[in-house]
Amino acid sequence: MSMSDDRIEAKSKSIFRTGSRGLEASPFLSRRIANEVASRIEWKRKVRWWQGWAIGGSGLGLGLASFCAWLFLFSAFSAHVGQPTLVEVGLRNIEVADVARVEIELPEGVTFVSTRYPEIDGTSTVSIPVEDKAALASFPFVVRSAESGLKRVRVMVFDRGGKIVEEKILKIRFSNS
Amino acid sequence: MSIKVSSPLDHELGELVTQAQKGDKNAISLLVESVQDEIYRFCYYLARDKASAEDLCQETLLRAILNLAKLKEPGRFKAWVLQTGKNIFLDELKRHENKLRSDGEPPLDERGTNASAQDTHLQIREALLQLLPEDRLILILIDLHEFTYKEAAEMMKLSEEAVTSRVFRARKDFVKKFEGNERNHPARSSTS
Repeated sequence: MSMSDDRIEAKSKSIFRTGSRGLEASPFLSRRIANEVASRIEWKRKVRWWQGWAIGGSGLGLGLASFCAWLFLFSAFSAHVGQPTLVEVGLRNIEVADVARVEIELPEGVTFVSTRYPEIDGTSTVSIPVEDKAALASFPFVVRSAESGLKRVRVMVFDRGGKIVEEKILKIRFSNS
Repeated sequence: MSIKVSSPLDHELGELVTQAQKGDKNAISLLVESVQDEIYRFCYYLARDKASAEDLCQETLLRAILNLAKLKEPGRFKAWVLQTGKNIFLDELKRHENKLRSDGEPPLDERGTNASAQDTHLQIREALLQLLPEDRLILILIDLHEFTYKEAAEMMKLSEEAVTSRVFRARKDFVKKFEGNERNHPARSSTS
């Protein structure tokens, strides 16, 4: 190595040493990271659990065998724009005997996400036959919104005559942060 | 890959990593705090502007923590995070070349700051951004983060000879451009 190369190396390292002073990450970064990690781990755990539950089903499209008639109603739970969001819908205590199918209608800008059932991926309406309404179950599905705002997911239960016997609205607030 | 980590604090870091791998939120926070400034500097000098640097830093730390279970040697956490950042940077470069390459000028929102330290940071980044992205990466790993040529070669998946040759060339260009920037825009003392 020539003297010139040594001098250049020393100069370069000196510049970087000086350049390190005062260059610090945001004081809130560690908390943001820890919260985001916790949130993603919890989401993955839920998805894995519900995927395991859904695998044994046999319904059209989403592999479920039963559907109950009670909807978990939260006061607009939060989700992020652009990110897959797991939605859990539970139905129970439905009074009509001949429940035939359940339809889920997503609002504008929101679509279903599914790699397991590509035929519904990207769509905004799905219809699922109900074979055993009595079985207590929850129905998971994954959605994604392309825009922020309060979105209303409509869940409708139909009898064999095509009449709506139960309708619920699930509110999700999608945000960019 | 074997990267020697010689800091005396690495044992403590290793303990934190073990706890964080079990999902301990406090350990995760402490772990991030222990390396965040160093990772931020790495990202600051790689990226084109402060906003991109902050995005890269956050994504790097997040991905590193989420993949912590894959880290076999907890004492190599710092190197692991830098490796993650390098991979993200190079992937982003392929996808969005304009976002991370430089047009040779710092973004307008960062120009003309009064504090001399910020001027120095900007001058360093201006000089770095005129290098090829991989040369910039190699120079930062060796001259800022003090990896050996062998360690940098392992991270970059290049031969040691290639890294040696590239870092010599990068240093020459970097020092020349930095000194040129200093002459053209001498660091101002703070007036506020």
